[in-house]
Amino acid sequence: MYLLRRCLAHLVLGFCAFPWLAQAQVASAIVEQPQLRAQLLSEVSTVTAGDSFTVAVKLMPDQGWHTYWINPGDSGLATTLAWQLPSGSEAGAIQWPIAHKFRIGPLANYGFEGDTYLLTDISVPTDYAANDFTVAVRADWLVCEDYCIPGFAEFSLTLPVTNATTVAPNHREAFATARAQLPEQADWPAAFDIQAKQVTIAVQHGDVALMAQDPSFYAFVGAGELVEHATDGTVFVSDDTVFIQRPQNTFYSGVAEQIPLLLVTDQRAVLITANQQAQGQELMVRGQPVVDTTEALMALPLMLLFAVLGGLMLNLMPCVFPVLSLKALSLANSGDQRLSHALWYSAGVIISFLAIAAVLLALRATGAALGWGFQLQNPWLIAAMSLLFVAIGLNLSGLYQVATRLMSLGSSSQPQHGPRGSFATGVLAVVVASPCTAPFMGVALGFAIVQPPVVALSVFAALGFGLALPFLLIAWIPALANRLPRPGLWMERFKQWMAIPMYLTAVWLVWVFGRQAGVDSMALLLIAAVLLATMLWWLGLRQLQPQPSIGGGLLTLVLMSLSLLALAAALQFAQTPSSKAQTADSQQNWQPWSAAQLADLQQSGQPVFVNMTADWCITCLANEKVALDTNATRALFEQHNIAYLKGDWTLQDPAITEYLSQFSRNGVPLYVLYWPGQEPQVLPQLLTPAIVRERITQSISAASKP
Amino acid sequence: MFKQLTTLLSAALITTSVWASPEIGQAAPAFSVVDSKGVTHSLSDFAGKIVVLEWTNHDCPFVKKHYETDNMQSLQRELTGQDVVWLSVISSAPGTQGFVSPAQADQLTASRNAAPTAVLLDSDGVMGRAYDARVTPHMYVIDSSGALRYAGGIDSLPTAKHEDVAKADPYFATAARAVLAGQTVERSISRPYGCTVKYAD
Repeated sequence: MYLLRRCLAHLVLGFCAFPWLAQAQVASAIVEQPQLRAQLLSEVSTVTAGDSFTVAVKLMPDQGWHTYWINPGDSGLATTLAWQLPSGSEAGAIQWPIAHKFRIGPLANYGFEGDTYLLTDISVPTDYAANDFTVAVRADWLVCEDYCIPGFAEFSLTLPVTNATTVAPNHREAFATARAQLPEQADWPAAFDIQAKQVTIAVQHGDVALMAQDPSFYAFVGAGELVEHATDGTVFVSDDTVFIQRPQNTFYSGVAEQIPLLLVTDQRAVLITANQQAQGQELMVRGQPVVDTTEALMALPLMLLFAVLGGLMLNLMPCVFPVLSLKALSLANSGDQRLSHALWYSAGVIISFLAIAAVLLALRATGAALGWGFQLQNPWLIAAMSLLFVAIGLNLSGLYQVATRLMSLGSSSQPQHGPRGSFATGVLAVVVASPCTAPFMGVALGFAIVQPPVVALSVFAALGFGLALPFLLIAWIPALANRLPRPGLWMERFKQWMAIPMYLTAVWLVWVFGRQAGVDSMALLLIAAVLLATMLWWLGLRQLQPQPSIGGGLLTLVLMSLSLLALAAALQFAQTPSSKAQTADSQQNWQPWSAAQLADLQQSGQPVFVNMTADWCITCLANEKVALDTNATRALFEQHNIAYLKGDWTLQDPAITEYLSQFSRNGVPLYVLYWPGQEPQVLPQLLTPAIVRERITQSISAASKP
Repeated sequence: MFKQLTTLLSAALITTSVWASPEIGQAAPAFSVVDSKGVTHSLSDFAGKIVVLEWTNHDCPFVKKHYETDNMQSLQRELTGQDVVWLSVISSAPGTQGFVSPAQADQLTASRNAAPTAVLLDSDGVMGRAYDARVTPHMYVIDSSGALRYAGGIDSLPTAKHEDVAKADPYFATAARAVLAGQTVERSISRPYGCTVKYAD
């Protein structure tokens, strides 16, 4: 009777499944339980070995009743499905529909009202040989209105196995409805951390930034007892990153490293995964991590191979090639001494790399946050290097001939300098190579920097070996050397062409300097470059005269002094930037923290705001975006002449660790306001612009009282 | 920019949690509630004794799971037998599930063969909110110095299935026994599972 009725119902839809003929059973009987009816549906009427298909547990609660999401909230229970499948077959995780939030008095739950489809993918083993395939499942749910009733149902469906999976036409609509209830899946970078009983989640994507502007935006956290559910918390957007702050759950007792996060507005729902941010780990949001975990897991030999290849590539870099190619030619012509020269040159290169690595490791030990190219953080070096590149460029262009020892190390075609000369060329090669390494070698060096010293040193040595490799090859295989072209006029033209990358490198360095020191300093540096060029031009003219006049020599000296003077002025400006230059050009309104700097400022009677932060601290980042790097707070600091010191604990600088311990803290963020004549004030670990303003106002009024 | 700022400011205003947060290791919140016999009990009355709090609602399937399997009653007998004070607390508001008159409360104790020291009738939810009790059953252990030592679920399996009682890791019982033995509680917080406490709005 039942079958007949079902068949008649299906006939209306133009489809009639005769179970006793086709053996296809695409829907179970409906199980009636208190306040909820449930059914198992299959999207397909036949299955195929090696394929997978989707089934749905359809929950039909009574009006006003709901079942629960993966995280049910303050009470309730997520629906569970326990599958019984033929061996070798697997059921995927429940594909949860978009959740809703239900408020119950002071508490909140997450779940689903109305007809709810819980989709699950089932795989059929490739070697499945039976004629039919039985899917059995026990569903356990809790259905609640004001009060709750647990319920369960057991279903099973048997589907024929054929050559092709066949979609059940009468379930198309149901599965389309089910899929329309699912959130989109995305791989937007997302991370969370817990500081001071607050959970901060950062999600980075242009789309989420747009979604968060919508008043209906809500983030469903797919982990029980991580955040409080009843409060909405705080959401704010900074560029393409959305920060979601919620109080930590009172009954928090640990959380998985990865949690599902469902971001919902009235228009859109997106499911992503958020990773727990561990101390000292590269921040997962905010651009590309420098050290990817896959790189960190890479075996050392592979890393060394990459370093050798990288070093080899450095030979082709525009800032290395002109000097080195000339050296290669001279080496090729040096006959029997070839091997000795090549070895000395290699030693020079490798030892220089090791020296840089040693300095880097020593600095790392003191806690400074450094990467390769750290020397480029020093404006002195950048200014000097930009002038050096101008000088090298002008030389290659043929404006003047080099008479100094330094350049003869690189370009001399007479290899009489012996081992010392070759060694020095190796050193010079490394110095000249440094501006080109950063962009190309970032990954290998990023790896080396976070490794134990021995590993880091090996990687650097491998880099040096790579750089020296062509010379060693030429020395070892004379045939190779013989294939090198002979010097001639072409070399002069080649040299002149090579001046262009030198000028471009100089432009890049000047730009870097300008970013650090401002436009005014950059202009002074350019003046220094003009004076230097004038001097070199004059020098070149004098080199053409058989008997140079003494007056001409004096002019050279005057021009050189003026150039140095301009350079000094540029650096002077860079070191004491006026507050005007700062606001006009750079956004940075802080100075790096040091205990001495703090003591000096306190001595001078200036109010000081200290911010201890780390690159991997999401809360710190959130606070800076929301409360510190704002125009209002900048203006406030400027108005009250408050010095802003920032300490970077990314690499756990011991000096900062000690400072933190003064405030009984062992982690960041830490914010301290020093007002002359008052005790230092520790600000909360979650800042708002209002808190910063309030504390400053309080300090001012306390100071004005007798 | 302005929009961002206003969102921020308004968001900052609503961050404060509506909940009091009882903290492990800190003094347990004070209370003063009348029991089914008309006697007023305060936490201070039990100074020097270990106190267990059990939020309950006799119609909640999760409470039934632990009463119908005699799990709750045997824990009550085990602990009260060692001079522990066991207070069953009903925070259901009048007219909601679990709300009972004093006579009904006593009748429930008798019919279920339960053995609490007293059944507290917290129908205004003041005590429940002070402890941030969210579900029934929600369990707390307070040591003889008045410090909170355990807060959370009765065990590790958040289901209403009777057969899961025996399979679960008994978080609450382990914690109470540790406090009795003067030992540290390994797991002092766990997920409280069950029915929402039916607070008065």
